[in-house]
Amino acid sequence: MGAINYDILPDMLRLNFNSDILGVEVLQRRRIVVQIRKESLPEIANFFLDELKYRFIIASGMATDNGYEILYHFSDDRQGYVVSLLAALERNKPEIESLANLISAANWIEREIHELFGIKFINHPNLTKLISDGNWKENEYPYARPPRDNKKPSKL
Amino acid sequence: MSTRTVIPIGPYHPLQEEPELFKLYCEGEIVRDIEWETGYNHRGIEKINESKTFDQVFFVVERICGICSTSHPFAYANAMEELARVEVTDRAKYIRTIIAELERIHSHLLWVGLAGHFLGYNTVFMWAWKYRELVLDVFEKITGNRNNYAMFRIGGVRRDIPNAHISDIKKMLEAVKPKVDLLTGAVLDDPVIHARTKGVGILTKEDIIDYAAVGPTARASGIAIDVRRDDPYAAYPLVDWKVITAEGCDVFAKAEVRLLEMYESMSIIDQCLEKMSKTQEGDIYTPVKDIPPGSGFGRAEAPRGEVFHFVKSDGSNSPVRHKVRAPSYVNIATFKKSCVGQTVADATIILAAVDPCYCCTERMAFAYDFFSGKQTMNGLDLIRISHQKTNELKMKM
Repeated sequence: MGAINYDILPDMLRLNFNSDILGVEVLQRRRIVVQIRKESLPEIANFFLDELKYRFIIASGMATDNGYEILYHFSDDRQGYVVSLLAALERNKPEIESLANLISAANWIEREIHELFGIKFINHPNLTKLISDGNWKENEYPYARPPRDNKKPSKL
Repeated sequence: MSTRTVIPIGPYHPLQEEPELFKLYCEGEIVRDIEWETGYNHRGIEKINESKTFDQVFFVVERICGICSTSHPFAYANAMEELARVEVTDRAKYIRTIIAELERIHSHLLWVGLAGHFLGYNTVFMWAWKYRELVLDVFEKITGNRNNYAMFRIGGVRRDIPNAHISDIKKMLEAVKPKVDLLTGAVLDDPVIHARTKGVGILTKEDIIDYAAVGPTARASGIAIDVRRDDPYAAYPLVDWKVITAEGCDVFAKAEVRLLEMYESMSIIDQCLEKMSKTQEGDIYTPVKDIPPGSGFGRAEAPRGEVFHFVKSDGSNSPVRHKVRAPSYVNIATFKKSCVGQTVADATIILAAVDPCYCCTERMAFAYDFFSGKQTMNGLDLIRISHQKTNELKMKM
């Protein structure tokens, strides 16, 4: 596949995955965040890697008021875009399909997110601890707390 | 049944900045599997940053890596400037680029030295580290520091390079070039180094894509990715340079890419100094009042590959979430491909080849017999085995 026309990318995604795409946010300077239904993650990630030839950069988790958000960042190295897939997970049962069988690069970061946020990656080949190796309490996740609500002043 | 020996590399060693543990599962001389354990030095920097103001975060991320201490502030600045929609001045762009490229030279020199040491070329080690000092002197002149330069801020840089200093800096850099020539010749033309590194630690294009490896590790396998060109930032689109690639896929190709990249860096610095002298002195900062809510994605090409920062702001004065992806995080995972099937004598140089923030290879600890638990060899022994192999090759040639 040649160069991607980013003006039509939102429409192309909606055409291919219709109701799985919940929203497309085009940020300035070659950055796009695509909100998806979490069940469709493997399919869309596969489309990004196989069809669009994106490179997987990393995933990042975040605790929100209602649960968790997980972002999978992909890079289009030919045009310098970063396209991120955003899936929202509920607080009671944070689960999402693992990408580690699709791309090895996702293996470690999913283990790390599991350890820090308690998000479970279904079908991950080895969902053991990556960074704390047993010296952290079970079922206690250091990054799982939602962000503070006492806002500080916005001045730098 | 063959006996499997576990050789743990690490986790602690006085020379290393980040402890990690590799377990090499060996049958005789051959490495059959590798496991990785980390977190010995997990400092929770992402979490710490949530309690720092956006300006303070620079000083924290600068200390993520001791060798490439500008790559993280660079990526973070890119993320924040995207978030705050700030365009920095040309002079600030040139200064940023000069710092980043100087850092690439000293980081690659450090790598060449250590790679030489692991192969048994201690002269290369001494030379490379001696000549690296010349680059650090330039840093000291420009920033006042040999490392952790504290040059970056949102909207520009903290210190200017006075035009009057440019000729001195150029002279200092001219002294580095013949030394790099010397090292390049010593490494690329040596038949024993060819024999030790060619065809060793192969990473195919498919492996690179699967493990999403970046930087010289990817470029040595013929994958021309470089954030400086692909997602241009700072002064890189304003100067002429090219992305160095090699097709060898082995340790030699990685050395080749790094050595030749130093010439590109020197050319970039020369052009930047030249162009910078034509801009207004002191015009290095665009005022930034506050950071709006939103997400910022910043990237920068560190000596080891792409650094990625994701910052989320809620309109307050500190990040809600800050994700840092260092290049070694993806590069180290490739050991599973490059080490398996190779001999123990080659393991040190293969691990060194991705430049895993170096310390990783320095943390050879002890080898225990898998069954008796008795210690059989230590890190020095492994380096000795590597030296021995080089000496045997020298005798044959």
